[in-house]
Amino acid sequence: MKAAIGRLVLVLDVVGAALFAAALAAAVAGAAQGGLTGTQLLTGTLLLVASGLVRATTLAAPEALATNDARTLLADLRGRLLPHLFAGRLSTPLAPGNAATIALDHGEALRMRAVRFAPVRLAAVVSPLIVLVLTAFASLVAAGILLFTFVFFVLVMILTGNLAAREADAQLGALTTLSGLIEDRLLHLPIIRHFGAEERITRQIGQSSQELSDRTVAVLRKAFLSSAALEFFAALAVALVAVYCGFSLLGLLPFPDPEELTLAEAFFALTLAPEFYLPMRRLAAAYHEKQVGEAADRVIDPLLAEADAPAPQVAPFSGIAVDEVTVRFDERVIGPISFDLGPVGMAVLAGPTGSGKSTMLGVIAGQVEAAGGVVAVPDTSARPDPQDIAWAAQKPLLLPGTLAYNIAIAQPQATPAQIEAVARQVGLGDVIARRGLDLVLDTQGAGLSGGEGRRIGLARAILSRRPLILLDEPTADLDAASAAGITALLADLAHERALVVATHDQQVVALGDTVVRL
Amino acid sequence: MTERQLLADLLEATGAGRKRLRLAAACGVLASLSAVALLGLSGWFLASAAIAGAAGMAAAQAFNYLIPSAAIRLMAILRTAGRYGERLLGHQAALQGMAVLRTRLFSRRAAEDSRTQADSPRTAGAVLLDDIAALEDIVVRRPAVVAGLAGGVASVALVAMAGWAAALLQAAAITVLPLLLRWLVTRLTAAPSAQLANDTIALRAALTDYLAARAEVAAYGLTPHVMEAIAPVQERFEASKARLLKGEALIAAVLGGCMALSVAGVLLLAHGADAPILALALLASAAGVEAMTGFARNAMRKAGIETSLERLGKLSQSTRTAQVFARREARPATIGIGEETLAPGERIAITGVSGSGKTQLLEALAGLRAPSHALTLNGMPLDDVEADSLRRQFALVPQDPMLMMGTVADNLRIAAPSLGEQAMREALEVAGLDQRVAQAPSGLETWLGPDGRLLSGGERKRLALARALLAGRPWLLLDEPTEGLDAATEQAVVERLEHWLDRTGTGLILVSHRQAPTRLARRALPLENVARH
Repeated sequence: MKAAIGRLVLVLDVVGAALFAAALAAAVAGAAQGGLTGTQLLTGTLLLVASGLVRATTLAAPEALATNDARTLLADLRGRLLPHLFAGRLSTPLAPGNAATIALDHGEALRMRAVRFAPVRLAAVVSPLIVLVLTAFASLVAAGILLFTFVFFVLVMILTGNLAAREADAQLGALTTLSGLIEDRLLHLPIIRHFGAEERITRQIGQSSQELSDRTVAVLRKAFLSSAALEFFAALAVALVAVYCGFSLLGLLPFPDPEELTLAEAFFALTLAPEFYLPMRRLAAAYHEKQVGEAADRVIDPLLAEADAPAPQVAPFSGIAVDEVTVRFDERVIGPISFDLGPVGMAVLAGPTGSGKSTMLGVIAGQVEAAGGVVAVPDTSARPDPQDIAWAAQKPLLLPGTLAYNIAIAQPQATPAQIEAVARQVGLGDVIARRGLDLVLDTQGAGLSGGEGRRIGLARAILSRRPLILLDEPTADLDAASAAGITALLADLAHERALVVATHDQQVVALGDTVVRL
Repeated sequence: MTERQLLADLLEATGAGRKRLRLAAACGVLASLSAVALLGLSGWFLASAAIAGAAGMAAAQAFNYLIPSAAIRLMAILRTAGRYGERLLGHQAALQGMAVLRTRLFSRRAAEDSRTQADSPRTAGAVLLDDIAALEDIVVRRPAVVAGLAGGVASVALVAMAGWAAALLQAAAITVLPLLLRWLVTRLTAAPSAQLANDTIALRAALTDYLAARAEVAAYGLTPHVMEAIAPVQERFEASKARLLKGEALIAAVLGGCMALSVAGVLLLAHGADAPILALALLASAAGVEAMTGFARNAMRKAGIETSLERLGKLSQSTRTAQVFARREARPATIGIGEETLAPGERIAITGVSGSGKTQLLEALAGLRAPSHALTLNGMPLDDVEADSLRRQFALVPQDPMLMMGTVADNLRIAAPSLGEQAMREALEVAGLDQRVAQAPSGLETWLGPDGRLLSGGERKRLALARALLAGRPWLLLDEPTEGLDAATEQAVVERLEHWLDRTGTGLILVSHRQAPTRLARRALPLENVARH
């Protein structure tokens, strides 16, 4: 609503321009009729000052209003998008960095479009019309001249504008590609140096940079044509109005003059002429915001659609049947995998780092959409209830709070005694002895070792009393003794719960009732 | 070093662009002068025509209308052509200059030693992409700065025809405008913009951290907790953003309002002038201030990029650049691991529990990190060995395969220059990846995406193996070479690799927790016996 008002306010900028033109016209006409009187001078000056104030206000207000509106828009967007990124069913897994980019950078692109592009859009249509009408009051022919240049302007824009817009989109894509290439090569510089290829890779970067620059220049050649057309017709409008009015005032027009111009009218038309194209120039200046905003739309809209998709049917966990499940992971498809697991026991997903084990766990948990196949509770067609599934992460989530709070996060009503029992069960006895259950943690887990962090995740999963626990690399990067401790714990746990473990640790693989290799 | 010098140095580095930039500035000056003259002349022409017209037919006939009206049309064309030339040439100079600069900085980065590299690839990426983009922006605007100044000065000259007082006022207006803007920027936007940069980093970090724990957040329904935890960070970000945007809106308002004020001043001081001269002065004043806003906007942009320039300056001072890697046969070296000595061509397996540093040992030999064990090359401690000597001895198959974004061939070609297709196919055959590549639609030119995404974990490993074989170094360093392979494939790879080792006489240092590859080694070296340092 406020933004709508803002857009209307921007249209009022023309009023400022008209005041300006009127003041100048009156002053010059007064001077031509034998000098300005004191009143004329004072009125003219005041009118000019007023026009300055009007223009300043009408330029600042829409952006300020749009800023508030955009804030609401962003709050609403992030309110829908973040829960989906944090916990929704994604059709393709997103790396945390990429998901953050979507939430932050793409969101900001939409904000800047709302602040910079949206307000000038309406003004670009309405303001020239107002200029045309005001000019017509002073001189019909001058208004006709503006309209005449505008027809040609539109024709040129149709020819060059679309072309430039299309190429500008391609350009944005090419720039992203170069950025990706440079980031990739910087990341892999150690291995590139190791093989002595740095000079060749540098040449490749040089070539790609050069190509991009050449391609950009080719695009700009065309893109600037449309802005040159704007510039040209703006200048031409001024020149034609000036020449027509001059000849009309001289009475030397080579055709019968349809109107009798005064100097004031002529000067008013001349001063207002540049304003005819100004709103369109502002629109052109904000084109980049529009373009980036549209690129953001293309990423965000599908995610919002995903977020609004209906939740699948679920059934209480009594075992799990995984049948021919595949999942899109980056640019390839993983699987199909199939296995059955009863109410207790252990299934192992084995494979090296980067083979998609964690993503497959995500599919079983219902956090990632399978590309094909079915995950169901045996003898039903429904997915296991997410409330029955616990997850022990490789690097568990730590919220600001105590150790006890973090362990009981999935079971807040657990008693301190229960919490302590579970903590000791997973081998956190040392930490409790050293620093107590009231130890305050920060989100980085400062003061805890990697193994201790992993145990918190495990304790959390056990305490949640959920019958199915998914474990992601429970022993990776641990020293041998810790890994052995966790492995023994898993062997015990598999007698009372159902476990699905993603691992590349042969000792853990050996424990599995079923082993699926990825 | 001052900002000005820094900018000049960076521009110097881009070489050829400078001439073009001057040409762009000349075009810009032409455009600016035409714009000021177009309006001024039009005003003068109208007022003179009105006076001549009012004085009767004879005066009208005597009035020389041809030259002014032709000049007006000429100005309109010159203004357009000048602006087009300014923008195109300016962008051309900036883009090409930045392409050169970017490559040069990459080259310096590439010439660093992996073992002592200080800042992360992400920081380097920010310099090579964001900082250079910021600099590009400044360079693109340079011609507009000169042009704006020229337009401003021309307007003072035209206003001077209506009296020195008005001219002084116009001069003051165009001088004050950039200063005023600079002051407003420091007052209104500099602090929020710096604050916003920090808040953005904080928000990105918070989002990334919690998104990394997505599995648990989703499993236990912790979204409200997480949203609550990031709310204050987000609030701060929003507040800074709003302050910045409001500051920018206010600055836009000042820019929008100041033209009318300076014209009002000129009117007050020049009201005694003849109508044609008054008209010329008023419109020239307006056009001059408008031209100067381009100059002033540059002052606004510049305020934000000091840190970018500083970082660029630091990188561009280093003089080492990437050199061609001259391939010459390296004499196979003797390697010391703790008390043990490995003769050229020996094949050993490093053993030890998980976490004992086997991978670090291989990476230290490969020159990727500083050694944490007592290692020597030809009796010299590894710390004292140049990176170049290390890489002439070893070819590494890292634990994480480290594949570049590109095709299969792109990844193989980094091992050696001008590799033929035949050589690549042979290496792929030894690594057991030849059939997979042959089946792919584009063969060796199959695009793998970032980190070799198109391939499975085991396939990536084998591509890294083929790459190492192609390098032809005296020693092969293998870190879990058969991870992710099924037993049959593993057997086949190990067999072919053994033949390859026999045929080439290459030495081997192997790390593997799997049984099959260990038969490649003649003996085992327990890492527990090796001193750390």
